[in-house]
Amino acid sequence: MLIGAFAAGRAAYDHVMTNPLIASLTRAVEAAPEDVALRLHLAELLLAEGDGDAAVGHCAMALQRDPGNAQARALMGRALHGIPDAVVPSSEAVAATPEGESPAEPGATPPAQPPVQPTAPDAGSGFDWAAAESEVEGFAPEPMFVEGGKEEQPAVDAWDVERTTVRLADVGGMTEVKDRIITSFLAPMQNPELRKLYGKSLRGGILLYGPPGCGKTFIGRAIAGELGAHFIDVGLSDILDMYIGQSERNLHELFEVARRNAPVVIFLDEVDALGQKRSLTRHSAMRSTVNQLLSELDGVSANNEGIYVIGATNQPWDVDPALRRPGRFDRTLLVLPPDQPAREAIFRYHLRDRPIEGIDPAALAKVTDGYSGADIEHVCEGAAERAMMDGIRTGKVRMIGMADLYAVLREVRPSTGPWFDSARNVVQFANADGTYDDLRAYMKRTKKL
Amino acid sequence: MGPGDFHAIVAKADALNELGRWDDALRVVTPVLTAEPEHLGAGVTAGVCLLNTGRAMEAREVLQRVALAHPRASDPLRLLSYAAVQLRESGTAVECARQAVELSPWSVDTHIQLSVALTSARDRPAAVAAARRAVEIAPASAAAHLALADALFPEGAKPSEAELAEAEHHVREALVLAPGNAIAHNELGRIAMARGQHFAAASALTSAVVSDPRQQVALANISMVFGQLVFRAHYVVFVLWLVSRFTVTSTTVERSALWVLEAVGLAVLAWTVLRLRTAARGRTRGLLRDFARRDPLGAAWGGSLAVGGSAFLLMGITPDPVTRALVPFVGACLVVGMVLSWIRVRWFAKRRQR
Ligand SMILES: Nc1ncnc2c1ncn2[C@@H]1O[C@H](COP(=O)(O)OP(=O)(O)OP(=O)(O)O)[C@@H](O)[C@H]1O
Ligand SMILES: [Mg+2]
Repeated sequence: MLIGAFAAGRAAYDHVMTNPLIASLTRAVEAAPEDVALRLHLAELLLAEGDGDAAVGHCAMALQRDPGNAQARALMGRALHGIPDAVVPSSEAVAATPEGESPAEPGATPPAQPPVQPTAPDAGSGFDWAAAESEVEGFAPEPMFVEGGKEEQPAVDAWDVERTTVRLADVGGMTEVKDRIITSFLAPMQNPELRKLYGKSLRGGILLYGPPGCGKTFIGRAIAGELGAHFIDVGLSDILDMYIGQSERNLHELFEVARRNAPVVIFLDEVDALGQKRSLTRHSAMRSTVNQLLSELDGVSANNEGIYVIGATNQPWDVDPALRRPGRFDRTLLVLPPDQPAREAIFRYHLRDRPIEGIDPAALAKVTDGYSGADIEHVCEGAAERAMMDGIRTGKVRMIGMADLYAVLREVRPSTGPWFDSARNVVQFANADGTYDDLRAYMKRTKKL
Repeated sequence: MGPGDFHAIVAKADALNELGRWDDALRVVTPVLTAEPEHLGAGVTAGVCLLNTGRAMEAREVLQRVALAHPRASDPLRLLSYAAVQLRESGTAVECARQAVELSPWSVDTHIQLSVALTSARDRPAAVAAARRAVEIAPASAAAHLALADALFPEGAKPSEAELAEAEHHVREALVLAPGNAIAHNELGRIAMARGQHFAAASALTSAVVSDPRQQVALANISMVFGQLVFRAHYVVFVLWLVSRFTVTSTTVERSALWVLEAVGLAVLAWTVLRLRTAARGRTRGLLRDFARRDPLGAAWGGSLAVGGSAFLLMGITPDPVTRALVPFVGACLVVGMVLSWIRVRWFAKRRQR
């Protein structure tokens, strides 16, 4: 049963990725997370496509916001028992269910809630259907057959190429980091004349490092936004796929996609996973992946115009030294826990779509020294949950107030402590070449050393 | 998700294990185990993750299931032995390792594990024999050489000089095979400590810290070396002070004799500082700070000695009445140091009990 469910879920997942309606609905739900009717509609569709897990998630979120919602409960019941909806027909979902696999185990009790007809979201759900449809129209399906000569190019890029709207101005505070990005990266990019004058080449990427959850990915996106470039996020899982070589998502393919989409920022998250400095056994597949990355970076095989590579890592001391030589990730940029203005911006950002009352972000920023962006996000979520639970208990909906945030803050400790613990030893004992001088200076300043 | 996918997923988790990302690896491999609890590769990989994150009980549960389903596989047994060592069940550890060796007599890893298990069972000769076998099978394996060194000189043992020499030989062998390996440098440090060569130990341990600054063991060992140096310093100051009491009486102060004593003290001090600085290669301050964090009482003891020692050196140039007053002052510093060292020993004993 379990295996069957897995197989169905996976086959359907591939389908979901290509279903434009679900894609646009997902985006709509992300934009309006409070809209329960919209969320349930998405859950309905997901369930129909066989993606029960995602449907359960959305039902749970809907129930969080509206615990009494009968439709949400019924849908959750169906999703948990893997009963796809009969209303929205989907041949793929049916086909993906293995033969002879009944939805419920024999002898198991039938689902508590009888399947109910989903009600279509009412007109008052606040969702702009016309806009969604026009968005869907944009997804022109790829031709089924392509003419000769083009077959080398896959119909759908294996890598998701994003357009980002984030700009450096959206990054709150952190003026030092922003200044360095501008002077050492953006300015030379944007001023070819200046570059020529000083004979400066464009080779080499930038390596962002720092404690987890402090905005490395966010800054990477902002850099892409500033350059008006596309953004390809290459995560740990993608890097592993490269040296297991199991999928077509390999490095060469990545750079090919990037060249087709130039200008583009390739964001290599967790580059430390690419190589390892000090293991007794060196994985040969890892080695060859690193070598291939190096040759792609060096641009020996092709023209790298308009391709900017940004690396990010929490463990810069584990990054393969070969990756840090000139022309590669030769410039490092320390992304520290957000300073006070940054924290204020992060509070504003995470509270912007929530029902709040009398919130003073500046005051919150003042008492959260050392908290990471992710910690602050966590605090805001906790405060929302607290206010919501209160509402459920008393039966009276109330706004999120400062008291909620302070209450959660008392329980949430900054998560960057362990990172600085290991950084301390590195800075003290393995900084002979001065690589971590700025980290050292920060730790001295904040009495962490 | 079918068997083909399982294979790829396990390979991914293995790669994560190799990077030391145990938690990530466990997250990746868990779905396979959920779908097929007796999957050999997934079970072994999950076992590695769990053992490396100190969850030996859970590891044992997974590995036992897999071992039962695959009686011809040695990996689950080898890891079960490892789990048993962590759980302090040395009998089980040895038994599992022996079975693993029987199943894979040509695998270095099984022999290394047998040696580790026998060490935990305090059967030194057998442990050494098992590790020797590992070195025989794979003379180019740094891990095998380190295992032999560990079998010859296990933690807490008092080995003979011959055993220490052989252990050192194999550690050096390992360092040739894996240059800059932090564990090997740490072993060299331990061997030097066992021989009472404080500065050689400090030097090797500093190498270990530099090549992997996040390894806590080497730092803890350096801290122990510093503790021993403080003890030695106490002894030196005490002897000098004792003798100096004959040169400073209520009627006379024999300056020349006092100066001789102080010259000896200064020479010892200069020699110590010089050798320490050479050993620590510019990291003395950081190491001392780390020492103070790990062993605050030892550092306080060292501090009281520094005060007492300085006072002793001052005695030679102060006017007679001050010199006379300084004698009991130095003695008081020594007493304070002794009290601190006594509390420190109690504190260490209590911590070891926990
Ligand atoms: N200066 C900032 N201004 C606004 N938001 C920020 C800022 N810094 C961080 N954030 C927010 O903090 C959260 C965490 O940031 P992000 O994911 O970029 O961190 P990261 O360093 O990439 O973390 P990880 O190491 O876990 O990958 C994001 O939601 C981001 O929006
Ligand atoms: Mg990130």
